[in-house]
This record gives sequence, structure tokens and C-alpha cells, in this order.
Amino acid sequence: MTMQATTQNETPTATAAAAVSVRGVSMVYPGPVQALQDVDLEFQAGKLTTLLGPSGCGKTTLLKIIAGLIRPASGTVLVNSRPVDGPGPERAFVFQDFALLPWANVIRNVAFGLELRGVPTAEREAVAEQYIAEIGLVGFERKYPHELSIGMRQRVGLARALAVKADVLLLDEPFSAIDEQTRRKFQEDLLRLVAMERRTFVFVTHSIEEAVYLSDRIALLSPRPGRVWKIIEPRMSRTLSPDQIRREPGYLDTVEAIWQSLKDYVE
Amino acid sequence: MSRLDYRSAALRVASFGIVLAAWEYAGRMPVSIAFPSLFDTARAAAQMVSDGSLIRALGITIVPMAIGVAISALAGVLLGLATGLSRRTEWLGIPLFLVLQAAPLAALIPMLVLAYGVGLATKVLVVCIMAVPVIVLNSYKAVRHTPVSLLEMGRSFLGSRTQVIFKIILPAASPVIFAGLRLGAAAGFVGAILAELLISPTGIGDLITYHQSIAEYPQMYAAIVSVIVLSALFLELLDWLEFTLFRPEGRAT
Amino acid sequence: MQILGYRIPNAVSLLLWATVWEIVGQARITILLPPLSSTLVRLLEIAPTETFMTALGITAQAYLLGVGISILIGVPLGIVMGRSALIDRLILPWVSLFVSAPLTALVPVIMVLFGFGETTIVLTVVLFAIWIIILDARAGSRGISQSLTEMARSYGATRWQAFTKIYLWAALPEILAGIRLGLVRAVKGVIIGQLLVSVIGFGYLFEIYSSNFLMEHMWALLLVLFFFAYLLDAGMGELERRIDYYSAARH
Repeated sequence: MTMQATTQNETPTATAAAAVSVRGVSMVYPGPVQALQDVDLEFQAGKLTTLLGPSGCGKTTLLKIIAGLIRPASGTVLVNSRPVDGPGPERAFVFQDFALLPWANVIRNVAFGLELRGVPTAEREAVAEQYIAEIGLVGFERKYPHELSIGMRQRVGLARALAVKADVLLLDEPFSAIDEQTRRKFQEDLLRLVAMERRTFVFVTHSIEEAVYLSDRIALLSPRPGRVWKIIEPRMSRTLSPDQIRREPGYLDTVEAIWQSLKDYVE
Repeated sequence: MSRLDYRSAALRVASFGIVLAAWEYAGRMPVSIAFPSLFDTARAAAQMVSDGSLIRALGITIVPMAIGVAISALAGVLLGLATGLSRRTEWLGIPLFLVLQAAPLAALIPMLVLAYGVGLATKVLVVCIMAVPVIVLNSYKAVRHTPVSLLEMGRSFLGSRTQVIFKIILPAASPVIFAGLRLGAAAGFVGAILAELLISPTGIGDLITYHQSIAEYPQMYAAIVSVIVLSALFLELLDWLEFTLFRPEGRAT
Repeated sequence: MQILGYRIPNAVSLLLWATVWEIVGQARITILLPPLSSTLVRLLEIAPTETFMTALGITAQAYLLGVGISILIGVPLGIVMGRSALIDRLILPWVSLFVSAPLTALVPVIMVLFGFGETTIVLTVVLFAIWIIILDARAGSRGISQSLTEMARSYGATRWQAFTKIYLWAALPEILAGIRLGLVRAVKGVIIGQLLVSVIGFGYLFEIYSSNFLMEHMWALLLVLFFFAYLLDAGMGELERRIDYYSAARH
């Protein structure tokens, strides 16, 4: 396994077309707090890119800007070469606190994105059932969120994002509320999903191991102000089993190297 | 039922039993000549039901109640929505309703009744005046406290404003809105009964004052208990409505 | 709310409505609503009179007494209910019943038993205020986190110490919220009680004014009442805000 690192604002020659391009994005909150400054990033199509960094580095802010939920102070975001102006059908968001409708059952929650688009009930429930099967919750269609475990709830949120068939999936620390054991299983499932679905995934986390395990590319962000500081491509051999990967020296070295870099920024 | 449920039910029965027994005892003692025993009251109640006077009186009281609560619910929730969604409307409406809510609006009732009589319209008006402020304030609070992540989720999946209001904000707000409806209904009951007690011979209020005036205390108490039972049933109905219409997942969220 | 970037305080909204009142009153749309200005004039006229002052004194006295009793009985009872499942199960059904029952219907009972005097008014105030005070004190008491209780025991606190140094403060936000609601209900109670008894206090004045259609006098009286109710509510709100800083961090 090899680790390739490039420094700030240098994007390596992309081997795959960029599905999402972030150009010169800055964000200022009242304070004034410079959440992001001049961020340039490319997200390759069909790959999983992680935004990694300690709290306050602006990674969630950047993710929401790409989603169109926040308007940046300056700069542009291009998705499939078109500028972003608010949320759009080609992007879907997975929320850290799941954002499920507590009064709706699983199948309605999964179909909610389609419901908002006016897709007729029979059709949207069929799509929903397909993705409920894909995330492994068959049999739970009529259950309500409070009857599900935390892990199951997040899977519903993921299925909802998949069901709208967006090109770009944006995941905001989706596993941070989940216990360690379930979390590992989810990471493995997510890898399988990325390979199968062939969409672009943008992933936000503060866990170094998670980032190294899951990502095709990691963008390290430093806080105050939020800046892209390093880009790392952990070349993980996907032929190894998940448990073997986690014990590979290359994996452990990468994790350690990132930690050393970030140490200065942790309070 | 589990052991815990048995114990809980037994305590409930015990609680009612103790109070009712105390009532019976106090009535027999007697605590006061004006304090009839439980049995006397029950007997009077049975008699008033059979001769129709109780049902008729309750009917006269409850019709303006129901109409008033329905109107107040509609107007109150709409106003609450409007103030919750728009800062302008919030600024215009909420300070006013805060004052109205703290104020003893009951004091307006004699005035209204004197000016317009104790007809159906006046009673409905009285119920509305008593009920609307608390319904508006609860609905407003509920709308303002919609979880931000649900709103963001609605936006991220391209929901229109109307869709977000009806599919996300209103269902999320419904527990607090219904809490407001319960308080509003209770206030409305107070208004309706007060109007009847104060001025004029109609409804259950009349039954109470009439029997009080001729010192027929068992009948008077029977009438009072009946109206309390009626209000409790009405509120149960509201609970049931909320459960079936809006929150199929049960009350616990 | 903002106009042209300037924040306009909420109080201005009330001023706006006061102006609306004035205009509607001047237009003589209904006999029931005299202009605000003449109401205020009348208020200044009657406020210093002896009748008014006596009525105010009687009303205030009954109110304070009733509220005091409600707090002294209601808060400890609520706290006890929060900590003892047995007492809770016995009493809660009645408290729940009465907190939303039309208590007005019970006032004739009090009148019949205790006569047409101040006792009845005080009891009416207690009747209106106590249930919500009990319920909220109970909620605060139930909400006291397990770890606080265990901490108290592990450091060897006596019952009394635990109560006064920990539980009371831990439950205080809810207790104050309950008292605030109780104060507002108590105002309604004292007014309704006096309306029904109608021979003392403000109830007596209301009776005189309304039967003589002295609208300006009535509204002057109402203004006084509304104003005091609002002051009380706002005052309690301020008190609640003082301890707000720790109420969210308790869990």
C-alpha cells in the first residue's frame, strides 16, 4: 500500500473526471469567523472523497455549501460542470442526526425525497423497497424510527438519499452517533455500496481511521480559517479482507502520519 | 397485564376509592349542611338524568363550547402558523397575545353578556376570546421549535414551502399544538360556564345556580360533577383526535 | 422585526395596537369599546378614590394569600410526588383532572360552604393556582438526574441537606415555570371568584360598573388588571431567565 501526499491547492492530474469542483470558496460567519478560506478542491466521479479535520475546520460547512444548503461568501461550486445555486436533484444529503420524520414509518421516510417530487405512491414505494433491501432492512418497512436502533435509523437516512438517484451523495459524519462495533460493519457496508453504486461520495468525518479505511482520497482541512492543507490518497488494496486491511502496516502508518500532522491543531 | 400494571391500576382504584369514601364520610358527618354525601349526590344525578334536565342543560352548554373550540382551533393554529413563519407577523401578533394570555379575560364576560345577551353567538364569542390566545401562543412556539435538521432535510430534498409546512412543520408541531388546544378548550369551558353562572338562566350554569338558590345541594353538586366529567371527556376526545390524525407512531417520540 | 435595517422592539407593537384601540374607540364602532384616551383619563380619575383603593387592597390581599398558600402546599407536594411513586400514583389522577377542569364550576361549592367573603376568594385563588404548581414541581423533581441523587448519597448528605442544597435547585427551573403559570391562573381565579361573589373587591366594582354601563370605568379597571397580570408574568419570566444558565446543562 502506498500513500501519496500533495500539498495545498495542488490537485493531482485527475484520472477520472471531476464530478464536483470547488473553486475559491470562502465562508464567513458573523463574529466574524472565517470558517473557510479560498478552498479549491476536486471530487472525482465515482470515488469516495473524505473531508477530514478537527472540529472547527469547516468540513461540515463545506459539505453544506456543496449541498446548496449554505451560500458561500465567495467562490463557486460546480457539479457536473454546472454551478450550484441551492439544493438540486443531482445531490443528496445524509444527516448526522438522521433527520427522519418521527411520525412516518420506514418506507415513507425512505420514499420522502420522491414524495416531495410528486412521484406517485406506488412507484415511489417500489423504489423505496428496493433500497430498503439494499441497506438490509427488509421486514422493517412499517416500523417507526423510535422502534429502530440508532444504526438502523442511519441506514434509513442513507436509503432515502440513495432513492432519489442523485449523482453525488454527501454524508455528514453519518457514523459519529453509532457505537464502535456497529460502526465497523457500516464502514464495510459503505465500501461495498460505493463499489456497487458508482456514484460520487463526499464524506465528512473527524475519525482518521475511518477516513483512511474508506477513502479513495482524503482532503485534510485545518481550522481557523478552514483551508485545504493536504491531500492524501491512501492506496488501499481492496483485495484484502476488511480485517486484514486494518492490520496492514501501510494502513497503520498512514493513520499515524495523518495524526502527527493534525496534532498541532487539536486543542 | 404485568405485575407493575396491576399495581398501578390498583393504586388508581385506591386513589378514587379514598377520595370518594372521604366525600361520603364528610357528607354524613356532616361537614356542613351544604355538603351532601356521595350517595345523595349520585342519587340526585340519576334522577336528573332520568328526567332529562341534566342532559338538556349539558347540551345547551356544550354546543357553543364545541363550535367555539372548533373556530378557535382553526383561527388559533392559523395565527400561530403565521406568527411562527414570518418575523413581521410575529412582531405584530405575539406581544399582543402575550398580554392577552396573562390577562384575566374572564373579566370581559359580564360586559359582553350584558351588551349582547346570553345567546349562542355570545357564548361562542366568549369561548373564542378565552381560548384563542393560548392556542396561538402554543402553535407559534411549536412552529418556531421545529427541529432545524428536519427543515434542512426538507430543503435538501427540494421540498417547496407548502410541502415543508404541511409535511414537516405541522406534524412536528402537532404535540404542542394539541397541548394548546387542550388548554384552550379548558379555558373555553370556563368561559361558557362563567357566562351561564353570572347572568342568565341557561345550560348547566343555570342548573347549578337554581339548585343552589333553593338549597337543593345534592342536585347542585350533581350538576357540577357532571360538567367536570363532561370537560374531562371532551379533553379525552381531543387526545384521541391527535393520536389518530397526526401521530400514528404513538405519543412517545 | 426590522425596517430598513433597524431593529424595532416588541413594545412598539403594543403601541401600535394601542393606537388601533384609540382609533376604533373614537370611531364609536361599538358602545363596548371607548377610546383608549378617555379610558386612561377615567383611570387617573378613579385610581386615587377610596372605593378603588379598598377594592384593590382586598383583591391584592386575597391574591397574595392564595398564591402563598398554593406555593407553600403545592411545591413540596409536587416534589414529594416526584420522588415517591406511591404518593404519585395516589394523587396524580386528581391533579391531572383538576388542572384542566373548568374550576369555575367549583366556585359555587366554595361559596355555599364558606360564604360570600374573603375566605371564598382566597380558596378560589388556591383552587385555580395550585394544580399547575404541583404538576410543574413534580416534573422538576422527577427530572432530577439519577447521578445527582447518587452523588448526594455518596458524599453523605442528610435528607435535609440533599433537599435544600441539591434537589430544590435542580428542580428550580420547572418550579419557577409552574409558579409563573400559577400566578397567571391565580389572577384569573381572584377575578372569577370576585365576579361570582360580587360583593367585595374588584368584583363589586365590576358589578356596579357593568350594571350601569360605565364602559370607561370598566375598561379602566380591566387595564389595571391586565397591566398587573402582565407585570407579574414578565417579572417571573425575568426570574426564570436568571437561572436559565444552568437549566439546559442539567442533563
